[in-house]
Amino acid sequence: MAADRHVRLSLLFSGLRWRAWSSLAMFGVAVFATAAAAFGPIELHSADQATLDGILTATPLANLGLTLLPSTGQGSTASLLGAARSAPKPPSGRPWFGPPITTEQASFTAAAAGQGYTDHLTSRTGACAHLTMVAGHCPVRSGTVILSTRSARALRLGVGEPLEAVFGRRAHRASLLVVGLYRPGSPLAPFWWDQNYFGFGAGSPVSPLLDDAFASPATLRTVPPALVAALVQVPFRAGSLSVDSAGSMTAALSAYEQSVARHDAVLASTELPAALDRVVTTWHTTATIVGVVVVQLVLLALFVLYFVADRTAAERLRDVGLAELRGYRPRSTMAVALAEPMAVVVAAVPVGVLAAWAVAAVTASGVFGPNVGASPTPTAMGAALATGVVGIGATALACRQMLMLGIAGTTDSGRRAPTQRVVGDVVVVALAGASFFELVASGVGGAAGTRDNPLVAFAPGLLALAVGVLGARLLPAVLRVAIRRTAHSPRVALALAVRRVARRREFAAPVMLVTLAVGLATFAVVGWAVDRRNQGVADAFAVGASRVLTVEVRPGTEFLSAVRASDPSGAGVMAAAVERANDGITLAVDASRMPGVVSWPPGLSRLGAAQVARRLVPPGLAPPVEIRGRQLEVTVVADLHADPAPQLVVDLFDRGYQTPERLVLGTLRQGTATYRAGLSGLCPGGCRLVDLAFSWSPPVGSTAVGHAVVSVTAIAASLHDTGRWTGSPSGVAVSGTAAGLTASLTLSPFAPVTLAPADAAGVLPVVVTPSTAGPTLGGGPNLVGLDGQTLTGRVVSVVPSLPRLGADATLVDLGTVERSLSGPFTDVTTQVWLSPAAPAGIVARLRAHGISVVGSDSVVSRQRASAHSGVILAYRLFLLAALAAAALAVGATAFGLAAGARRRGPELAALRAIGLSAPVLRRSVWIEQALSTGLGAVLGVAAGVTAAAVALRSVPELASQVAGPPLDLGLPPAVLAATVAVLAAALSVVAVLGASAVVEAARLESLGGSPT
Amino acid sequence: MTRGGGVDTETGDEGGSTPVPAVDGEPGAGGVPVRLTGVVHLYRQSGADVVALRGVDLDVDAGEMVALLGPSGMGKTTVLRLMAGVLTPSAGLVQVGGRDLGRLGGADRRALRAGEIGYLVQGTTPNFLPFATVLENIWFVQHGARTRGHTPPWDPAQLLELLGLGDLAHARVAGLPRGRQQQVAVAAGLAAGPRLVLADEPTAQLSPEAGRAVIELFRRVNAERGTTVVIVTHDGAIAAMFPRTVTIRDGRVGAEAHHGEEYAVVDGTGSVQLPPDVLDLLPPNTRVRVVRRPDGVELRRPEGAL
Repeated sequence: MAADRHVRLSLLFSGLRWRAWSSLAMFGVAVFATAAAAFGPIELHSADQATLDGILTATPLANLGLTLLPSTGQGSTASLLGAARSAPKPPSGRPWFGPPITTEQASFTAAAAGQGYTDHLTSRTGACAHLTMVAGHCPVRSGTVILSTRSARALRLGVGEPLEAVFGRRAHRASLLVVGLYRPGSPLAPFWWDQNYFGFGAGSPVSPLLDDAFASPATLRTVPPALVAALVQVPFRAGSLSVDSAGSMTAALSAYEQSVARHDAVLASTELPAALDRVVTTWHTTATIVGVVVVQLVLLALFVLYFVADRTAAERLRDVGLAELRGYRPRSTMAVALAEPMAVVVAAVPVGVLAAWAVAAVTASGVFGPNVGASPTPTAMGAALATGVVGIGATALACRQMLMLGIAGTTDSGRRAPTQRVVGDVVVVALAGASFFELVASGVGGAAGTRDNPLVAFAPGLLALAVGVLGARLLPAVLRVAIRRTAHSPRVALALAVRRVARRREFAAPVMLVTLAVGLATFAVVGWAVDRRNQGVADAFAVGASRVLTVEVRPGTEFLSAVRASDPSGAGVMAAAVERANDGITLAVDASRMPGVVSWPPGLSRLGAAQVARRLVPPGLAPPVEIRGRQLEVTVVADLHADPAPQLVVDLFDRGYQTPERLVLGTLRQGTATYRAGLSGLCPGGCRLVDLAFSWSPPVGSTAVGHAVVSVTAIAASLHDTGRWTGSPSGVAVSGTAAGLTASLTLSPFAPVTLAPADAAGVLPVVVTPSTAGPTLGGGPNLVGLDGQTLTGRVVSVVPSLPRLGADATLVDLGTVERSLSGPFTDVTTQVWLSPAAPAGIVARLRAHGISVVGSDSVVSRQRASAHSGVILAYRLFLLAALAAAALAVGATAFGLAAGARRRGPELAALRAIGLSAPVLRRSVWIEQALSTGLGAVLGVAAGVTAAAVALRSVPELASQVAGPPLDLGLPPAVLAATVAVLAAALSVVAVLGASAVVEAARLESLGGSPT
Repeated sequence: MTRGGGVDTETGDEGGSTPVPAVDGEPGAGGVPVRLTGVVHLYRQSGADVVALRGVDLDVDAGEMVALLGPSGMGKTTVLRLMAGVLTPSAGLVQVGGRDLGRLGGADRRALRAGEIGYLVQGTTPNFLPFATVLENIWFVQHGARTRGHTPPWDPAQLLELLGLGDLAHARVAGLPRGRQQQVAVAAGLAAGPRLVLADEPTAQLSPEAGRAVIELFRRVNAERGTTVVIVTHDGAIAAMFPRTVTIRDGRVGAEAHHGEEYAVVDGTGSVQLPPDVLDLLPPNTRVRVVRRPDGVELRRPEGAL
């Protein structure tokens, strides 16, 4: 038996060596197939880890950690710490959560120099390590405390002096010894978990807030427990979570939250599950894209393996014939036929896994970042093994024809039974057709014409294969016409080629293979280009412009004017303000500069950006009445019928300081009078006139009604232009004369009568998203003004999403909404948006105009940051797949020619023997290749383009961008042309060189070769 | 139906090599008779059938050595394939060792080839694995036989020694001269210890010396194991080494020769093919008068006929 095994092995290796090129070709393709199958899961695992790390890193630490609070409002620190100790842990490896941070706080008041202050006595684990002590030491003993330098200054205290603190409503008093002073740190530092312990100056002017006074836990224990609030924070350990344990963590957190709520009366909260949800969503997207690429690549490689096995089967036909001749049992004959291809494929599986692992490991740090490695996961090995098994099946299928031939067939050419071939063709075409129509139907049914569909993984390959099958089967029929037409043609090469291709089935497989490979390459290139284009659009849309600066505006600086002044050309700089209120986000932009700066992709709205920008500014608004100078004078001609006489008040709005100012000019006098008020200290940068108010205060209980006719003759220009003024209440009639503005007032004790410039829109033109289109109080959607007041809008355009703000925001004109301001910005982030045309040194220019940059976001930085994201990397696989598919197409064509050269040698030699020259034969082989490979390439490009048009919108990453800018799934003509050119050039070179080699190999001596 | 003579052991030339041992009592030892009765064979082609054999009657006794002669395309190879069970006759009976091959299934016929029939197809290369050594080729054949429950009478090395090919045991067949390759092919054909050896033009493209060496191998096996040997050849010199030759013409047995003397053969329907060298006297479609004589019949043209 051992000897038998030895001989079997020896025969196996001898056979492989004897057919070295074929064996190597088969091995190479099998390695490629298994490596591609293994590479997908390995790469996916690394991409998933990169995604996990990326999302967790981008999420603030405070959001990832556990925050534990007593669910009843009052609870002991001990129970919180007990809950912290039972925080979820992984089955093995590093704990997910670090040591808990305990915080206890009690509010107190203190006073100095007649000014009361509000403060918190805070004990927080490890706080001293995060404070910069400038005097004294950390409080350790009970009754000691440290203050910030500015709090100490406000309280007029120093180290060693007592702080008299009153807790609660004078329920508890304590004299705390100040043992140290610290310099307040940044409240944004991760240790403080987004809690501002340094809120000096905030709060009520009556009792402003001080920075927290830090003390030891022992000090807090001296305060009545009812006055102490406690919380425990359990920090998440960065890098402790792996892809494999993410699922178990989500489950563990859910169980933990329920457990501590039930058993410890502790409310545990964390945003970790939400972050993990985002991770899982991205994983799904990445997995689908990788699946699309890898599955098709593996299918192509398996088809090439079948092709190579089919071509090499002829070389083993004699072995099988000999086994038949020697009476081998069918099973033994099959072993003779399949031993070599099976051995090759089996050997290729571990090599493929190792190759995939090696490539992934070498490229991992560069592709995914320094902390992400690559490992051969069980899935990868399973995928490689499954591919190996399917590969064995493919080779067996290729050899099956050989096994059917028997001894008599050893001298015949192999043919598959027509019925089986037809059945195979029908199955392929039917599957492709079904997939195609399903994708068409699902795309139409989905939102924005897109829908995630797993069929996308198979459809392009199936479609290309089906087109290839149809092309291969129709080609002979078409060429039969050409046979008749070339019957008497002097073009011998053409006549020969047409007849060969029409009558020999050996050309069918190359047509199918090239169609499939070129189809996949085209699909992949188009997919990559479309995604790249959409990614670029999406990145620009996410940023809002080429670059967005978050800025701080120096008090007194009028933001909009300052930004405009920093770029007088108006081409590349735009002021923007984002109001983030609980009930909505308002994006206010300088509409006059919006078209040139904002990323407004074509198709985002029915109207173009320029038209939308124009409609954001309500027509007919009067220009603001600017008030500047040292004194305000108003001349009024009054005809009064009111007792007492009304007061004349001027309301101004200081645009720089964003504060309303009211000037009382005095009691209105009968006849013509000029009223004056000093503007000293007011409006250094200019004020906007809000209104002239006539305030009437009859005795309490009086029901009298006063009347007055006033003519304002001097306060601003254009007083004669009635359209630029408005009266309130709405019954106030305003008329303009050459002398000035005249109004007949009906005075009421309940509300002042005002005359105001018609420079503010009662209803703001807005661009809304579907989610912000309602409610409709006041006849239009409500929005939050920059001062936090609710405004009413009038929709001028509806877009699926707004640049930078997404699907839950409202867009208004900054200049227009500013005129509605009645107070300072509230919860507003001021930004300067830049286009690529922004002037150089814009930061310095802005600084010169009182605007300093505190943050920056740009398309480039986002693209750099997302370069390691799983989705981006997955799309790069498209390009890799295209290259691989093209290489397989070219390689398989070359192999087919090489295999054909041996088989066709005698035939071509015979043709040479009867007088056909080598150039004629070469041309003949070229034409054969043009007819078969060329047809495959043409059909492949058509199939790839069709597949891209139908399938790309079902790729999840593209399909999920419903709320983003509209997808541009149009074909990229330049990329497509380049792809076709490269493929055509590569296939042409192979065809030309291959044809020469085939003809060269056809020597006359081969006619006297070994008998058959 | 023709019946030939016995084994011509006198022509065996052992050339001083070790005699092939007789295996008396061993199953499979000795030759088997072959009988073809009214065999007709058609090759099915698209559009029309081609008649290869038109009623062949041929008896080969156990242990007989027969060379089939005849022009190309006359059906010699078809006769051999029918004997090997590679083809089944369209009509008629093919019996090997008393078994009707037409009634046997493909598996049974393959089993026969694994043990009882050694069939060498035309040309050298189809009969061995070119990448394997001579020894491995012998093993390859014997492995097939063993899987059929047939125990070869010798191990590979022993067989090669017996055939005088021991020095080639570890040589790769592809690297051997054509003559040696054909000897290896014969050795492979004999590897399972068959009782019937069928060889299709085993000396084609060989030098006369190499050809003779191959035939000597057959003669030794025939002489020492009683193996029935049937070969196809075009070569008169090779045929002359066989005690009996059968000429196949137009799908029928046209003539036979025993020890150099040629005979026309009367088939089962009473037909007889005239030798080509008399056709100038009796060209096709000539009416002849059959004259009975005590020792046979005489064919005569009618008076006045040309």
